[in-house]
Formats: sequence, structure tokens, C-alpha cells
Amino acid sequence: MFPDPVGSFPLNERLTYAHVLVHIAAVDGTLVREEVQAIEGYMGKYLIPPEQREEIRLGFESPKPLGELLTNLSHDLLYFILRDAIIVASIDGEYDQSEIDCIRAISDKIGLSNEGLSAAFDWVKSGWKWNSEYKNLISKNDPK
Amino acid sequence: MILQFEYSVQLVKTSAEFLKQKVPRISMLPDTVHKLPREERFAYAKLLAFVARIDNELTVDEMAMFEQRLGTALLSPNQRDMIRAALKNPPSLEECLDDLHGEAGKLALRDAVLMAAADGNVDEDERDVLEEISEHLGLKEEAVDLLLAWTVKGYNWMKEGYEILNSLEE
Repeated sequence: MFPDPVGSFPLNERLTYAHVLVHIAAVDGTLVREEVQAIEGYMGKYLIPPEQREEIRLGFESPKPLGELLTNLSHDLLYFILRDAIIVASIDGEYDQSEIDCIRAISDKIGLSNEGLSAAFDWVKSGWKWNSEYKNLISKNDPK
Repeated sequence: MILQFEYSVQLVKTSAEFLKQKVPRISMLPDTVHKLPREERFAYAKLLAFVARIDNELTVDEMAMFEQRLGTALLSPNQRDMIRAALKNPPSLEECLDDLHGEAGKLALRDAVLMAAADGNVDEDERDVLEEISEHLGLKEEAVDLLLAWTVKGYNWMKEGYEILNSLEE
């Protein structure tokens, strides 16, 4: 029901994908547990082998340079990297300037317009709204 | 060259202003699994292992969803091994439910619904288990229906994301 093409990219590209997300999480100098949680979730979802996960986690301490990571990636994967980079950057509730710079760098690599990038940000925001709705749905004492 | 530099600075400023307006300064992640005590996260994951094996089939979609939730729960490597073993040899539902209450239970039911729907179809056995979990937690009678509707909404959100990504391609 939730098909996601990222899982069908070659392993080396999925590893780079994860390294980019780690870079985004670490770039503002503060790593929150929610960011780690999201990246661990992505590594699980895209079935990255445990040994490679260990290596990717090292990036929380010293992330790989973004410019280096963004070379030799397929154009299609860059779109998904952009999507999930915005999600990871939004997790702590605000976008730091350094995170915006990274997102902009990915967007530039794709050749995206400002409007396109805004649409992606709006989409992420609507996803958080959806995600939070479940809480009020199911408890007896909560309003319908 | 200078013009180009100024232009890119302007773009960043515009983006930052845009983001300040659009993004509330609150914690956006409503997923509180990581805040639960370790034993409750383990109980949560054990239930998901059970749900993944209800129909005795484990599709790639279910596996991906299961591994995602396992990652999100931030379990220790040892606990992950135990949960993966539970996937091969699932515990009984009663055993899973014994350790599951409150917030952990609600999150487990939510994610059990997501996992049951991951292959695009919630069969009768899966539905029965979801109802049993809901009853154990003392939730609204229509809780499972509401969560299924919520899941479909989320699916549409994901789909919309792909459509946006496709529309961005020149």
C-alpha cells in the first residue's frame, strides 16, 4: 500500500541516500533523538544491512561532505533524497539555515524551481498534520 | 558572477522567510515511540512481529514497514535480534497483549493497522486481530475503522508526494 521506489535502488545508492540524511540531521550541530529515530526508520524501511548501518551511524559524529555525496547519484533518487531531507530537517520543529542550505543544494542539483521546492515543503507540512490526526481518533475520551 | 551570488543569497533568504512563516516552532514529530520505556518499546515491536505473521506470509512491503518501525523504536541490537526471532517464531497474541497498555498500546495498534494494510489488503484474520487489540486497549468501537480510514488518507498523502515529485521533473 505504501510502495516506495527508494528500496529498489542499488544498495550503494541507498547507502548514499542514508548518508545524505545523516548529513542533514548533523549539519546544524545539534542532533535530536527524533532525527536519529527517523533515520533509523529509513534505514530499516530500505532494508540497509546491519553492518552498513553501523558505518552510516558514524556520520552522526562526522558527516560526509554533501557535495561529495551528491555526485554520481541517479537523478530519480535525488528527488527522493530531497523529499526525505525536508522531512528529516523538519523533525525538530524548525528549519535551521544550515539545513535550508543543504536542501537548496539538493534542489539545485535537480534543477528545481522555487515553486517546486515550496510545493515539497507544503507537502511535508501536510504529512505532519496527517500523522498527528490518529491521536484524536481512537481514544474513548477524545473527541471524534 | 557577483549577480549570480546575490541572486542565490536572495533565494536562500526567500526560502528562510517562507519557512519561518510556514513552519510552526513546535516539535512536529507526533511519533512518540522513542519516548516509551525500553520494555514498552519491546512489547510494541513484539506485537508488530505478531501482526506481520498473521497470514503466514511476509511480503516485502510488510517487511519494509516492520523494519522501519523497528528502527524507529530505537531498540538495542540485542532486542532487535529477539524481535527478528519473534518474526520467525511469533509469540501468541495474548502474550503480546499482556505487556501492552496505554500509549504503547495505541501506537502499536496504529502501526499494526499500517502494517496490515501495507500489502494493500486487510484480510479477515488481520481484521480480527486488530479488533482484539483495540478491545484489549479499551478504545472506541470504531477505532479500527477510523485508523484504516486514516491509513488510506496517509496513502493518498504519499501518492500526492509522488505526483509532486513527478510534476517537478522538466
